[in-house]
Amino acid sequence: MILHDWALDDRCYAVRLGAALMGRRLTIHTTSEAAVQGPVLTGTDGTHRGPLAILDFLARDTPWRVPTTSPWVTRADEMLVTFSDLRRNALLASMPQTPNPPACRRLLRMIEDQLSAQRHAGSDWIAGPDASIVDIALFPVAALSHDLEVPHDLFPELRRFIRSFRALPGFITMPGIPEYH
Amino acid sequence: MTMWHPVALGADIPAGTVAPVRLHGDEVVLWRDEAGILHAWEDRCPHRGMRLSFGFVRKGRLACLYHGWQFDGEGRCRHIPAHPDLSPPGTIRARTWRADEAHGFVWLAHDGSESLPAMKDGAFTAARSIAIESARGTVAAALGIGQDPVLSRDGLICAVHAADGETTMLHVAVANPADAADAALWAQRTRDSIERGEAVAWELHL
Repeated sequence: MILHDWALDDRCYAVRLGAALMGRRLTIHTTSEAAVQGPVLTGTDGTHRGPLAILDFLARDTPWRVPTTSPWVTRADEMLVTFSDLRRNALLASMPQTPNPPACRRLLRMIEDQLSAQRHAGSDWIAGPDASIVDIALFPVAALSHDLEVPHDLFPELRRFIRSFRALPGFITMPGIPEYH
Repeated sequence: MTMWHPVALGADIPAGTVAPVRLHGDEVVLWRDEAGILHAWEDRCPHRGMRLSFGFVRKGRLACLYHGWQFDGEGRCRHIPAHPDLSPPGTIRARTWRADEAHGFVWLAHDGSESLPAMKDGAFTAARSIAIESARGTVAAALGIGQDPVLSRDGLICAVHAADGETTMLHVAVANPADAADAALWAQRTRDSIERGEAVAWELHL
């Protein structure tokens, strides 16, 4: 399977991260097209586009899959794509941008509220009792929101989620998400 | 007189972790060493000004993410990876705040020498710290928080602090651990009510 990838793109990172956590091997083909249109996965099983569609395909026959009846699959896809647009605007802007945009705060608040409800129900994860493709898709939103200068002091559940997620076996980083040595 | 401000739930800073906090716009890093001792410093590495809250805890020290400078529990620089044989001078230190814990909340004081006033004993369970996009005065008035920094009502223990002029953190704990989940949802409803300019409803269980 070939991932048409751009290293600095958050949607592509979600796919690389998912593959690493699930132990799926991908051949990486770097293309600047992926910086605009997001990740594309090609192989003998056809072509898959969009981070959640690709993650769902990679997660077949694994516990990472979430029932497609869960509202969080579609929601996470929309949230990651929205975040990605905001982040690209901020990073590629030729003029200074207003930090901490309300649209990004709204995304983080949705995740924060869900994580709080889940924690009180006994789970560290967004869409169920175990880590899933929804967590993989929303981890870049949580961890890269610094790029939009959203202060993390307002989101204790998000900080806990980032810590739990980083501890998953197979976790990998991307530029902007540090390794702790 | 020393002003002590409640700025976080202690449960949100487990041993070995780091968290940023803002108090009236002042940026502070809270970190807890592996032994469970809490530290509060200015969120700024004395080397290059990097946020120390991006750093990590190693063996009782906070390490800056940027160049790995390590600071001990007193804020003194103890190790500079680029100069491993150098014993850093004692003048290189992070600026410390006074920190204490009571009622399940973390309290900060900038200056003064008075200890955190003794509070009525009680084991409280953390429910939720939640950001409200309203000024502290608005939130305090909506909740009926007066001079006493902690409000105890209907089994809920509430404290607030101003992150900045427009954003307030509401910290909620409960006396009965079985109420924690409902109290977290109450905090959410309360945030939404205050942001819409509506009265706060105190019913914990709906």
